[in-house]
Amino acid sequence: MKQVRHRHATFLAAVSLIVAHASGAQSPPDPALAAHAYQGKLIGSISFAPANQPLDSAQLQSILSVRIGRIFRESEIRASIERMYATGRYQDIQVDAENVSGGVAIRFITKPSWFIGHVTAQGNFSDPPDVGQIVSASRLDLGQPFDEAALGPAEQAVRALFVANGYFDVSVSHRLLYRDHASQVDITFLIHGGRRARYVAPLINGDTSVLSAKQIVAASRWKLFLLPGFHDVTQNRTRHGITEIRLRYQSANRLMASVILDRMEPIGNSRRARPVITVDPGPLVDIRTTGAKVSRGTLKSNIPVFEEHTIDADLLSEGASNLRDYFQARGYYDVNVEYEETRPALNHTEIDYEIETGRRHRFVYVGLIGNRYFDRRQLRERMLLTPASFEFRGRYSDAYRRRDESSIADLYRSNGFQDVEVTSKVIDDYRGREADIAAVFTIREGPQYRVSSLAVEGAESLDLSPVIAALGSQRGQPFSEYSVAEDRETILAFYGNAGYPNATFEWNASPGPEPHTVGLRFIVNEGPRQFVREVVTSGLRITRPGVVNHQIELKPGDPLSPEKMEDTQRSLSDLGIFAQVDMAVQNPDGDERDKYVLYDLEEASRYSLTTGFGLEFARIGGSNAVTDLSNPGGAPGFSPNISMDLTRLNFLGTGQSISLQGRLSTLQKRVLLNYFVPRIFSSPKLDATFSLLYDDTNEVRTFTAKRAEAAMQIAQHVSRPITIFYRFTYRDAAVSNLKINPLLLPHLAQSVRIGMASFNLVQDRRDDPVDPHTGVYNTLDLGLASKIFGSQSSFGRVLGRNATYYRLGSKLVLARETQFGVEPAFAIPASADPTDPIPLPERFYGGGGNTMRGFPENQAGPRDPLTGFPLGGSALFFNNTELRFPLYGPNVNGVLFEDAGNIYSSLSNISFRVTQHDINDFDYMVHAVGFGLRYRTPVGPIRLDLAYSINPPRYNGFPGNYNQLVACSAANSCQAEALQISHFQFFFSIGQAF
Amino acid sequence: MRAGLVFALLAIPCAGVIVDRIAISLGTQVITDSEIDQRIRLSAFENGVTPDFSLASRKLAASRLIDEKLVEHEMTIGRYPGTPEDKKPALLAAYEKNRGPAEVTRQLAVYGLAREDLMNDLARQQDLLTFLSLRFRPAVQVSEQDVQNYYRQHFAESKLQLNELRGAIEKKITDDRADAELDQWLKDHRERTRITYLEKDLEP
Repeated sequence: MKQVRHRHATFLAAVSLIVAHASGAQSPPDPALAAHAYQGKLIGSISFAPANQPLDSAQLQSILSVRIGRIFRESEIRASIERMYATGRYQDIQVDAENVSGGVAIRFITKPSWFIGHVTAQGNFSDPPDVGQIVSASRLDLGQPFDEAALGPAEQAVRALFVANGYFDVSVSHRLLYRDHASQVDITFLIHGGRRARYVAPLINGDTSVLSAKQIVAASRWKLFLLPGFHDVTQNRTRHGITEIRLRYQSANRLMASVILDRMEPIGNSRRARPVITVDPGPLVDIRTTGAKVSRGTLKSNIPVFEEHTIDADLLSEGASNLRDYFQARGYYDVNVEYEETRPALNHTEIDYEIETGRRHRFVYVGLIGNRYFDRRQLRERMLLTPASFEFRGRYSDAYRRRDESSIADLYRSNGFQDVEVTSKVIDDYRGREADIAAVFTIREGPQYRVSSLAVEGAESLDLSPVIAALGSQRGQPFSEYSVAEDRETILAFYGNAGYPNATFEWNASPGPEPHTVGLRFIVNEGPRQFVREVVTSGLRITRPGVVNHQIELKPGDPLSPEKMEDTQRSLSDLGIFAQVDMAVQNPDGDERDKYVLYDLEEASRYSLTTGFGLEFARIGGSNAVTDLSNPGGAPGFSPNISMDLTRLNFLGTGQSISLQGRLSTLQKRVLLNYFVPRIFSSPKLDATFSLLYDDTNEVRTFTAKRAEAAMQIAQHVSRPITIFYRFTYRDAAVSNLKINPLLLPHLAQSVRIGMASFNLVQDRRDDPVDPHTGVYNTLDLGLASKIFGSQSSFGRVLGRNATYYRLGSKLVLARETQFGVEPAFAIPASADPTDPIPLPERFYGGGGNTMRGFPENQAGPRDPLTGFPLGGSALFFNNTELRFPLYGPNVNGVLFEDAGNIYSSLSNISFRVTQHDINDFDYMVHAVGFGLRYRTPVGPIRLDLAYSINPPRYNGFPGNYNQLVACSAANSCQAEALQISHFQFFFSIGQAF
Repeated sequence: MRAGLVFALLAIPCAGVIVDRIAISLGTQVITDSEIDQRIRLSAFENGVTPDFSLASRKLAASRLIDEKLVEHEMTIGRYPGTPEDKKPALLAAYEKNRGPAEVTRQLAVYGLAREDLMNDLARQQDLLTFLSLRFRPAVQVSEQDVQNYYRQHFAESKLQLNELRGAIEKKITDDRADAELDQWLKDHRERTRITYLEKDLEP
């Protein structure tokens, strides 16, 4: 149970001591004189006041120099005080002595130290600042010694933070909560913020001849856009405004303009604040180039004068050097850049960069001579110089060449070639071709130095043999300081994780017995070992302690391992219920063996509401009415959608969460209720999800499907890239508004219950799931619907996907994906169509922006012979290939793609044939090529794809409505209308195709 | 409740007398009353005067101890070599060479000191010199101009020539400058270190 001390106890103690003093217990003015009286006597007893000490008796025993039965020595008393204080656990220590029978009774009278625990803020204020910023401003760090004297400056800093954010009437006080357990003090800042002020027009001092007051106000963006009035004051907005004003001066060529915020003046009742700023435009600075055209943006990024807001010779020279590199990288290898600074008037500076580009070259070849230890490929991997290819003229500059010399030399040195020399030269008109240049690197490797012996000394407490076996500086290995540095990190990390935070490493080398060999000596100083005294958590209000305790890997008595501390911090963060997880060792500078490990947790807001709006634009329209059979192949249309996600985190403090998701569009209405249980069965690798779904969708134009589903899923996080999902689903699926041959209705129109157990393996080794450039992504989905699970239809499902991404050069990405799926049916009931037993909603559907862009959405595969609407299939095969490349600037990319594949009626009908046998044959491979644009956004690339289907299927449609179809079907007199999927498809959405 | 009871117990008059306490804390180091007392005695012993335990003297001793603690801390974290334990007796022996161990022991007893106290103090002084020579002396540059100026200032009227005194002058200038560097370093470190005077009388 926690003990809580309140401040009045200290007052009580002070009163008691004063009373004691007045009652006649007097200390001599010089304790040293008093100590002499006991010198040489035997110590009869040792006690502590209070009896409950911050250190346990075993630790105290090991610290004290005095012992019962030993002679009283002043020096040992002093040494004991010093050692006790050095633990950091005491604010004050006094020692008194008393003659008793048998010797001297010694008593250590102590005052314990307190340490900072949970720091938070409460009151009436809104973000900004948030609680994290307030705590950060206070500089009261978790685990550090607590000093009441620091509270004043902390309050001042918090007050200043609030004032900077427009709360001019803020009052800040604090409340302390002393916890005897772990000697922690929880500090709560009590904030009465009042109302945040709004800006008014700033008071501008200084020279406003260049930018008028109105222009300055406009640049600051403190004024509301198109509305009267000003924004609320925030610290970020104020800073940003000053920066924007400075940038505005910069665009007026006032590169050395100074804009200073003198103060924010509250006005009247502090609901308004006037920024007082002083501006000095500085001289007009014109930076121009002659001899070659350079855009303003390029000048800004290459000439540091713009960023530094000052002009000096160093910056101008650096600008010249940067421009030189810029032009060389574009093929002007002979470029010469000089600058001249002139002052045509007092307040006017002109800087002219004279650029002589010279002839434009192509950099065609990188030569490497003299390399034996490393082959060409190994060296080229590390080089910046790049010969020309179809996309550009090659990358060359003198700076790159020098860097490549260094890179090659560093590579050799790190592999033992201490005497390596790397030089390079440039050959113009390489192989007699005008304007072609080559760079040739000559490498004099020299001898390779190897380690002749390795001695590791100082490892007294730990067995270093497994670590030594893994060191890079083994006997016979190449010697390099780089390897020694890595070995140092390895050894110190090993000691750090074994509880030796102060371990040090030194090394020296001496010539070995043979030429070009080095004997190494590693000297380890272990230092004292530290252990976990206890793990203490704070900040929990709603979360059950058990939820947190399950994540804690450290136990009392364990060596103090930073790695395990960080693992625990990560586990706690991964629970998803904490906004912040702070971690610290209490009393880090104290010289004590056992340390408290602290985790201070800030619980996240329990409710989160996300709303979204989207728009899908593709061939998803047409045939909206129930009886409308037109456009079976889809028509251009757009589907706006809105979505909402309400999540309740940390339900009942258990770390579990409930979410309600809704999506509404012209094609779909969907409600999903999820209950998420992390770390099920106390395993950090298992999560469980229970969900209820209602879905009413018209995404396959053939029918409207209504689905009510319950599911249970367990996710097993096997490793970082690999996750396995085990799922059981039970759903009732009903179809209506079927646009198919009426004779098939009895089979296909029935609602069906499906119980399915499935296994899904996901391996994701992509560098970026949203926009990958390298890596692999594999999934395998195996499902079984069977009577055993209560299913009315029995079938299996196998669906595999393999996607790979390769970088080509520095800018291109080659992405490819192959999907294969099959749904074999078995135990087919008599009521089902034996040729097509799988219910309509359970079949494979494909085609569209994410599978095969030669088809509109869900339009691939078999079609109804009368109406032409897609019927889905029980096999699928798709292959997509994309070449992704930059198009314009950093955010606009282009894509060339080729998609192939189809939905097939069965596994045995999968074919690579590219021609359609007849109008009812859909089991052939359709191909499409196209071009796409991608615009990068923080949530993923916005995508526009334009595809041309080379061999789209022809099919029969029905030229009337559904009632007419029913009538002619009965009479077997239906007229068909020959149709074909359009050659041209377009897709507009977010995210890559795959 | 329990805390209050404990504090009440502390208030009960007892026959025990305070024999030592923390006077000053600096970081994780402390200076106790007994250490100040010992410093005064050692200084008096080395100067052959009566120990002065007045407040002014205690303040001075405390100030010197603060400097020593700062140096000691810096030597520990900077891993400067201190006097090894087995070398300390040799320092004491060198000190006792003229008067003899028995006489030194007798005189120490008059000041309430033990041989060990003197030995440790000699080691401390040696450590300070080591710190000075390793930390500050190497950075001191003495130019020819400095030597000449010094000679003109102090030995203009002397019969000894510059070259005869050059070595001594260089050493003196180096020592003075190193001392000045040490003083500045101590000043900077005092400002950076949290020094708490638990014995308020000792506060400057």
